[in-house]
Amino acid sequence: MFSEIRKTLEKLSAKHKIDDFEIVLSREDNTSFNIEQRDLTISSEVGIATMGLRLMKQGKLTYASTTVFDSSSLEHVISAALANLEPTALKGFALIPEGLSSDRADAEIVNLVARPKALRDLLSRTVRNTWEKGKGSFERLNGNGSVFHGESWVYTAHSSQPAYQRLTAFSAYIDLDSRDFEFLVGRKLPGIQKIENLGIEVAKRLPKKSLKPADVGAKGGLIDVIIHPMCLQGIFSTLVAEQIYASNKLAGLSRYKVGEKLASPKVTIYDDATHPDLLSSAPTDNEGVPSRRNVLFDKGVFRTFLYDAETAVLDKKKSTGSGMRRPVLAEDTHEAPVRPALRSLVMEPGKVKLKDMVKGIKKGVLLKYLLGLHTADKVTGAFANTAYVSYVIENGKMVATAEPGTWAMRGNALELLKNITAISSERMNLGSALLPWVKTRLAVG
Amino acid sequence: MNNQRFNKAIKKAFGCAKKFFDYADILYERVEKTEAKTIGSQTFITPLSVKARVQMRFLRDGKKVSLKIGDLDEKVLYEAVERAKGLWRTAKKPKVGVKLAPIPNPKRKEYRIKPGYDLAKADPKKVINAVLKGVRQIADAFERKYARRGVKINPEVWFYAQNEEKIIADSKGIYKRQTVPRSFLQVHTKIKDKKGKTTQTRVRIGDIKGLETLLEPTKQGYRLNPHTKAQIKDWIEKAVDLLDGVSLSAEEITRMDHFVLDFNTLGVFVHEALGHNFEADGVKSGSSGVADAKGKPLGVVAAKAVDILDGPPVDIETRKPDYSTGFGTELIDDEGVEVKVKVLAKNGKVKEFIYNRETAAYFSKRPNGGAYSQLGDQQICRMSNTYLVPADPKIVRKDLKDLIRDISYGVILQGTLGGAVSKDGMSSSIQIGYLIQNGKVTKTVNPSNFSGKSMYALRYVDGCAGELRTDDIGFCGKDGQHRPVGDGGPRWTRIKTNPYVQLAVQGGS
Repeated sequence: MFSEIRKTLEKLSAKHKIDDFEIVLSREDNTSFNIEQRDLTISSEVGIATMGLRLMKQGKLTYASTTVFDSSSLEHVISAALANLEPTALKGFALIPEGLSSDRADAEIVNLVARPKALRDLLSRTVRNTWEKGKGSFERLNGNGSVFHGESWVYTAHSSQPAYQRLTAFSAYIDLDSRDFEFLVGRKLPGIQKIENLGIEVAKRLPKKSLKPADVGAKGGLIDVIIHPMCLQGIFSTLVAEQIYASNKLAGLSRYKVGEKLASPKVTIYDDATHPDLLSSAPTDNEGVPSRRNVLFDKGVFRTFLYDAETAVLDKKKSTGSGMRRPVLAEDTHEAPVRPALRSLVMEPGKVKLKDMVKGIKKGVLLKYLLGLHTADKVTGAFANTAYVSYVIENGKMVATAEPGTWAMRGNALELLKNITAISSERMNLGSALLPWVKTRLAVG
Repeated sequence: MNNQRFNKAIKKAFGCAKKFFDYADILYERVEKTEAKTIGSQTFITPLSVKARVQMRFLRDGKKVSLKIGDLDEKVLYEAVERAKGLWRTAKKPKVGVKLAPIPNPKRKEYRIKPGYDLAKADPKKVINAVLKGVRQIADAFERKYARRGVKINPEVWFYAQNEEKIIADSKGIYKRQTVPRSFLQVHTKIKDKKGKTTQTRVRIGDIKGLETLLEPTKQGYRLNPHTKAQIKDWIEKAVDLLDGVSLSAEEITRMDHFVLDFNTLGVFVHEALGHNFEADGVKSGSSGVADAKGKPLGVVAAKAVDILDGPPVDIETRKPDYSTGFGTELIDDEGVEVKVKVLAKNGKVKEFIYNRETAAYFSKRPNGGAYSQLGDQQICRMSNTYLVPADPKIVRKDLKDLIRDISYGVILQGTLGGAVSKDGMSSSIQIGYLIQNGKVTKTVNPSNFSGKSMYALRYVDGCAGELRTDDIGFCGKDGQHRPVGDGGPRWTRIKTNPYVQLAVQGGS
C-alpha cells in the first residue's frame, strides 16, 4: 500500500513542484466481540486506512488528509492544499534515519483477527466464570474483547525509506452493573487465566452498599485519596501535560520552568515511546524523529518541555521526538495538527504495596475515574469533577462504592503532583501509560 | 459519490449476500471538509480533507455481523461479504435473536438541506482568512478596551465547514441518500492580566447550514456575521469578568435556595443526566438510569411542568419541528429512517426512547430516527438535539429579572465546557457564575462543576424564562463515536436546590 501511495505522491510532487512532503499512513484490521447482558455480538473492521499529509513549497507549509487513495482524490486534496500555503519556521521535514523498522506483531493475535473463534470461546469462559463465581454480587454483565493488527508508515520525500511499524493489540473489559469495571490491554495476549478471571476480581470486591460524602462526614473537607493509575493518566495527560508542551511555553501559557522542583521528590516520570510494553511506542514520532526516553520529572525536578520540530526551531532547541498529530477535541487523529504530545507516560514505582496504602487510610476514597475531566481548566490545572466507579475507604477497608453523582472532588493537578505522599510498588499497563497508584489529599465539594 | 459506481458495487455485493444471509444493508458516508485551527502561537490549516467509509450489516437466523470497510469498491465489498460469512459462523446467537424494524416511507430516495453559501463553491483561503482575521480583530479591540489592566487575549480558534453525503441501501431494495452542509466555530479564549492571573472561556457556534452560519459576503470575500461577532464578544467579556471571580465554600453553597441555569448549562444537564439514559441500546443492556432492561420506567425523571424532547428544534407553542436548523439535526438517520421529534419525557414521566432499527424491533416499537454512526462505525442509538420545554405555562416567567426576583441566595450558572455521564450520575463543567443575593446579581463566581443523580436532577425545576434555545452545541462521544449534537431549553431555567444536585466551585476550600 505504502509503495503505491509513495509513487503517486512522487509524481504529483514533481507535477506541482513540491519541495518536500511528509506522510503518516496507517492501515488496520480488527475483530471485536461486544458483550451485552452476557450475549456476545461480533463485528470487524477491514482495511481501515488513513493518511495525514504535510507539504512544503517555497518555504511554506500546508496540510491535507484523506481516507480515499485513488490518484484523482489525492490530486484533489493536494491541489486544494497548495492553494493555501502558510508561513512556517520549518526549513524542511526530517530525514528519517535508515533501519527504523519495528515488527511488534504477535502471531497469535494476527491469527485471531482473521479467525476469531478462539477469542469467542475465551470471552465466553470469562463471562461464564464471572457469572457463576460472582453470583449474587451483581445483576448485569457487559463488556468487550477485541484484537487488532495494524501497520504504519512515516515517510518524508528526501528519506531513503520510511519508518515502519507492524503492531498487534489485545484488549478486554468487563463491567458489572455500571458500578465497577476491569480491563486488560497489551500487544500480546495476556495469560489465558488472567482473561478468564477478569470479571471475578471485580465481582469479589464489589460492596453491596454505596455512600455519599455526608454519610462519612467528608463533605466540604479534605480527605485522603488513592488515585488509580487510570485516573492519574487522565489528570496528567489532560492537565499537567498542558504545562509541559513547548507550544504552551512559547505562548506564555505554561507555569513550568526547567530545573524547578514542581513535583514531590518521590516522583520520577518519563515520556518513553521506546518502552517495549506500551502500545503507544513506535520507532519515530509523526515527523520521523526517532523516539526516545524523555525525563520529565527527576525526583520532583522538572527536566524538559516536549518539542516537535517547529517548536524546537522557535525555541532554539532540538525536537524531543514528540511531534504527533494531536486532536483538539473530536477530529480524527490523521486530521489533527502536528504538535508536541505526550506519547508513553511512565512513572517509577514506589515501595508501598497498594493493600498497605489502603490499610493506612482511616477515611478516604480510592478514585478510579473522574467524570468529565476533559472539561477541567487546562490553563490553571484546577478541577472539580465527580467521582465514578470509586470506593469509599473507612478504617483501612474499602467498605462501599462512592454513590454516583455525589462525590465532587476538587483540586489542582499541578498541586496534586507536589503533594503525592506515597506511590505503590505495583503499576498498571494502560496501553499508552505505565503508572502506579498514588496517595494524596483532595477536597470533597 | 458516483451513483453508477455505487449501484454497481452494491448490486454485486447484495447478490452474493442474498445467497447466504436473510438480509444485508450498507451505509456509505463521505465528508469533504475545510478546517483551520489556531493553538498558542501556531496556525494549522487544512484546506481540504476527504473521508469516506462503509458499514455493512448482515443477518441470518437472528445472528448479526457488522463490518466496517475502508473503501467502496466492487472487489472489496465482495470480499467483505465472504468475510461476513466466516464471522457469522463464529458468532453466537443471542438469547433474543436480532431483528430489524422496517424502514418507514421506503419509497422516498432523496433528502437534502441546501446551503445558503456553499463551501464547494467558495475559495477556502478567503473563508479561513475571514474567520481568523475576524476573531483576532475582536480580541485586539478587547485588549485596547482593557489596556489599563494589561490584559493579553489569546483566542484559540477551531473552525470547520463541511459537506456530508450518506447513502443507505439494503438487500430488499431500499435506497436513500442525504446531503447536508455543516459549519462550526469554537473560540477558546485564554486571558492573562498584568498580575499573571489567567482565565478562560469557550464559545461555540454551529448549525446544519452552509457558511452563512458564521459568515456574510463582502465585495472581497467574507466577514464574520453579526450573530457570530456578538457571541464571541460576549464570551471574551466573560473571560475578563472572571479575572474578578470569587470562589464559594461548600457551606455557602449549602445555604443556597436556587440554581439558575442558562440554556447551555441546562442543555448539558439534559443531555448527560437524562438524554443518554433514553438511548434504547443502553436501556436494553440494563445501563439506563431511567428504565429497567425491559424498558419499564423506574419513576419520574423531571418536574411535572416540563417535557424533554430530542430531534429538530420545535416551536414551543405548536410543537412543529424545524428541520432547517440544529447542529445535531438530520433528515434521515444512518439507517435511512426519517428523523422524528421524540418526546422522551411528558410532564416529567418517561414516554419514549431513542431507537435504532434493532432496538425498535426488540422493544416492539417503530424506529424514530435515532441511529447514527461515526463514519463507518456501527449505527447505535444517539441523541440529536435534546432539550427541555415548559409543559405548564404557570412556570414561565417574564424574564431573567422576574425569575430571580424571589431568590434570596443562589447562583446563575452560564456556559459549559461539556459533561459526562455514568449510569446514575452526571457531571458538567460550568464556565462562569453570578451570585444572586436578595433577588439581585452581586458578584462573578469562578468556574465550577455541577453534578447530579440522573433520575432526580430535573425534578426540582420550578421556573423558566425566555425563548427556546437549542444552540448549545458539541460532540457527544458515546462508545468512542463522535457525533455533532445540540442541546438546550428555555433561555433561563431555575432549579430549587435539593440533595440530588451539587455544585463545587473551583478555588474554594
